[in-house]
Amino acid sequence: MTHHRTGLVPRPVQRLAVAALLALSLAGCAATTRTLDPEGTTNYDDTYGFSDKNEIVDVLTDSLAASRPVASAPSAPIAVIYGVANRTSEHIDTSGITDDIRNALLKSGDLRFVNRPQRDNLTLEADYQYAGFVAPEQRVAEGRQVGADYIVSGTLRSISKREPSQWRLTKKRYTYYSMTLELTDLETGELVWADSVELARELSQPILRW
Amino acid sequence: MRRPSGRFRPAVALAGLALILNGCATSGAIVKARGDFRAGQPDVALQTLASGKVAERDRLVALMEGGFIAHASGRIEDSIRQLGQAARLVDELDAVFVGEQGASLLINDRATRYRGEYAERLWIRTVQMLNHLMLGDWQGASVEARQAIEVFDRHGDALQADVFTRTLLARVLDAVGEPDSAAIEYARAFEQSGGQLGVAAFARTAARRAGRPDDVARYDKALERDAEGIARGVRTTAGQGTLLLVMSTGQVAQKRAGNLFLAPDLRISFPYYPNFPDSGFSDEGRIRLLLDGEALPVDPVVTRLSRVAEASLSARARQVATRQTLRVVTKQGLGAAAAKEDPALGLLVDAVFFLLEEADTRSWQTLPGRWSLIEHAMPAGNHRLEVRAGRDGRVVLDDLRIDAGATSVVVLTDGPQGLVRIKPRAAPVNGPPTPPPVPP
Repeated sequence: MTHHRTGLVPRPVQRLAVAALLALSLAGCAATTRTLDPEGTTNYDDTYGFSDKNEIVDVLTDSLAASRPVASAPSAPIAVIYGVANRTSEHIDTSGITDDIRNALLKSGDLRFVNRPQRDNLTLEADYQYAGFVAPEQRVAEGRQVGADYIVSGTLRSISKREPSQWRLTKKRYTYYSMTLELTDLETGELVWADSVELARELSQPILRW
Repeated sequence: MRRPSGRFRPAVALAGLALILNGCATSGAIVKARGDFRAGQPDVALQTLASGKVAERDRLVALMEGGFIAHASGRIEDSIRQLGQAARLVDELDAVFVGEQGASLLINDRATRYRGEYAERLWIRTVQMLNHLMLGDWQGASVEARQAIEVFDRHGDALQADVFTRTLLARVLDAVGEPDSAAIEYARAFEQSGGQLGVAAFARTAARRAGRPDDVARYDKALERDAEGIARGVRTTAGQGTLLLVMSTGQVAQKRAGNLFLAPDLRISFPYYPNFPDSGFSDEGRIRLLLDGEALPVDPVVTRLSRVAEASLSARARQVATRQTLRVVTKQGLGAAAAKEDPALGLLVDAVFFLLEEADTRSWQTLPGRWSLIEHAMPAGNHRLEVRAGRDGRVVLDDLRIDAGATSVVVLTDGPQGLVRIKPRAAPVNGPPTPPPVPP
């Protein structure tokens, strides 16, 4: 006597369910792209991103523009940027922060800037002009570069902490960022302005995964 | 033998599948790449890793091996990229993967994705620090130094013997203007080294800069034994720069598989490090420096990687033992259940599981056996530096340039012909081809 397995679900329906599941899973595998708003807030994890940069730049630009040395100067003072030291545990290009601050202040006319990274190229170009390749009347006059009144510099720091090991289903980590920007009087060495921005974010990840 | 009943077909199928999947020794591409590297063909090794098939479970091993091979052959950007991926993968794998754990209960730990020993997670940062230093990027090196501190904080007990990494990261932090952090790390390195003169020589200056008189006094006391003037050699005066010399010599020990027989048919296999000296091209011995023919007093800060690796593995002993026990119980249970159905089937299942029991001996094998760190002040200018290590290790650098007020980083490594200097090279192995020279 042969035994036939009798299931609750008819075979055609089983096949249809498997096909539907397969189609659904494959649909999730299609690659997609979408355009993001660079001014918006998008965070995939707790590490530094463009949203953080934008927040830092906005706060510090407004603060520097409103500072006494800048706001009360009879004409836009001249600054030179000496960069932001990266004291975090991530490889962050801090020149992106200072470039954006510089651009915003240049556009508003609140500050003028000496282009320090181009100094070697300026010398190279001037040497070329005075080496006889350029007509005398077209050469740039030497000794006419502007001198800076202030140095802009800063530090980006971070603190990262993990939740202690214990029985749990998720593990958490928080990261705190602090960006400090300073304005130093080049003549007196006095720190005439400083301000900072703080950001903190928590990442929660499941411990059990497939 | 009766045909297995319906209930045990899955068990037999699983056992068969497990046997097939266990043709899963470490990916062949990795084994070949290691061989190519040791034969003095790093570019071939990198091509093998780039184009060969590497199982997903061995991806971390491939990235670490590729990262170190690229580092040792001067492809620094490639090394930074690969080890960066390795570091991110370590982070991603910091979870319990239920599917993998299930497979490892039936097969062995090699069925799971390799996550790296604690020591290896630290050494990813060590090699990255060296990479950034060779590119003159002290800021980049300081980022890796801070990551290394995080690893030390998480697994410090297992990594205490790594005085080299601790001292190097302290030196980097001191250079980027963090004397407080540097002083703390130097103090830890000094303690872990048992009061070594070489560490005290490094640490004293940072302690003074950080305003830590107690530490300064401690180092001064240690330096009372400094008859050769090692500490004096580290301090720079006007017109001098500094040489920071790193030597990677020998070869790290490899994990072996040990077996424990609980019964004639019951075996537990576990990984361990054998207790023998590191092998390598250059024999360990005293390191001597001659600058323009004159001997320099040095006390290298040395770490034997095998010792740290062994301590790191021991720190996981309890986890390994727990998993082994669970696996034994699971396999025994399945075997007993199969034997109830059919004794011959039970024997087959037991035999398959016995054969599958294999220790996870995967590890980062291209690492050196020793890292040594030496710092010495030198007059600015071009110099001839001769480095001798042990009986056979010798290299002469005729073009050593020292700039006043700056630190020159030189990294030496063992090659088939002895010690060589690692010089950063331009394009990565898989980068765009170098254009042909323009004809005159």
